[in-house]
Amino acid sequence: MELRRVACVIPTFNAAAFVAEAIESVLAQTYAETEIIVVDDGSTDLTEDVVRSFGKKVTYLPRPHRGAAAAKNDGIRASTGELIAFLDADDLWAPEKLARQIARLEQHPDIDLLYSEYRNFWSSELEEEEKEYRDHPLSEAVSGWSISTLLTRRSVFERFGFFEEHASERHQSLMWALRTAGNGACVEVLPEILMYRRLHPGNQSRGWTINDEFLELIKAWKDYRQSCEEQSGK
Amino acid sequence: MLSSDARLCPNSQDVAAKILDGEAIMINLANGTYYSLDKVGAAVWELIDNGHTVGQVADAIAERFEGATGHALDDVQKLLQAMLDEKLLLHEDGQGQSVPRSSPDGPVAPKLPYQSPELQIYRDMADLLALEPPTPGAAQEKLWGNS
Repeated sequence: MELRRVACVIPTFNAAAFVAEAIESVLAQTYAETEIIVVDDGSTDLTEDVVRSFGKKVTYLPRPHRGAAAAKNDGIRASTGELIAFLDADDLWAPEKLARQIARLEQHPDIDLLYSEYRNFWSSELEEEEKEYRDHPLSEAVSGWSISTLLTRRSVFERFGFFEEHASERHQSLMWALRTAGNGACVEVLPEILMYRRLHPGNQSRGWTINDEFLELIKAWKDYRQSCEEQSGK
Repeated sequence: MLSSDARLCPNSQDVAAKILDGEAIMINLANGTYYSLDKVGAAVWELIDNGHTVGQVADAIAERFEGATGHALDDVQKLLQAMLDEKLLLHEDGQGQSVPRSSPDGPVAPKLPYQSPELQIYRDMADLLALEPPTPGAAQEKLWGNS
């Protein structure tokens, strides 16, 4: 079987404390045919030093700060892999993540967007919160459309478009997925924990508020549900 | 039936709303139910938000939409009652007569075709949250009982 190259796009912004571990989790993949592209969205910390310490194993793309959507799009355009995966700079992949997802895509080539389950883990500053969540569902396998679990094909972006760079920073990944799925892309979540989401005080997603951005997400969700109903009614 | 003089206001404590691409999207923060209003309905929401009475809203709708005359007051009353029932709107208890805020004068737009407005109600927020589960400790986790 010919190995297909996977472009692993890691957008990052001031995550020098975590990005090395993220990169190492990609280098530790059992599926070896990968290219790693770290898109630095204008970091002002030591991100460049950390990423460049990996030498030729990692392509480092510094950019002026334009947001996560633009950084992901730049990573896609700079890559050559037939398959594309994303990893937030503060998250980690399980070593078998790519191998398991590629096996699933081989069995089901109709799948366009393949996610997986993930597990939250807490940084040391949040020790008390971690104790509070022991034996809680959010400490076990979590299912969802998390960008750090996504494996998709380059052709999906060519068919359905790239991440919307003017959309809500907080919700742009999910809004892209809803739009793509609403236009007919096939989505699946592999029921295996293949990613570990790091919880730390700086998480953007820790305290999202109900504001205009969330209302945009609601509209995207509503339109997606409507598309699904129209498609199933055909 | 709401009287033409009645003045309502958005329930700003519990409801967040925005007009997006001509569609009003509202969410009740207390229970996660969300709503949409298309064209005519979105215009009603905006007019209420700007302080117009029920009667003034109906008159403005009849002016803006082709074919609305004769239907507007009845439809507006029904729509506003539905929004009161869902606690999207409240009766305004203001003293005296407040002056409604109006849009700045601009070129007269052609009338759009009228369609009876309908409040679309969605109670599947849990399905959206399932795509993006709350982070441990986030307020939303407790708010919608997703734990």
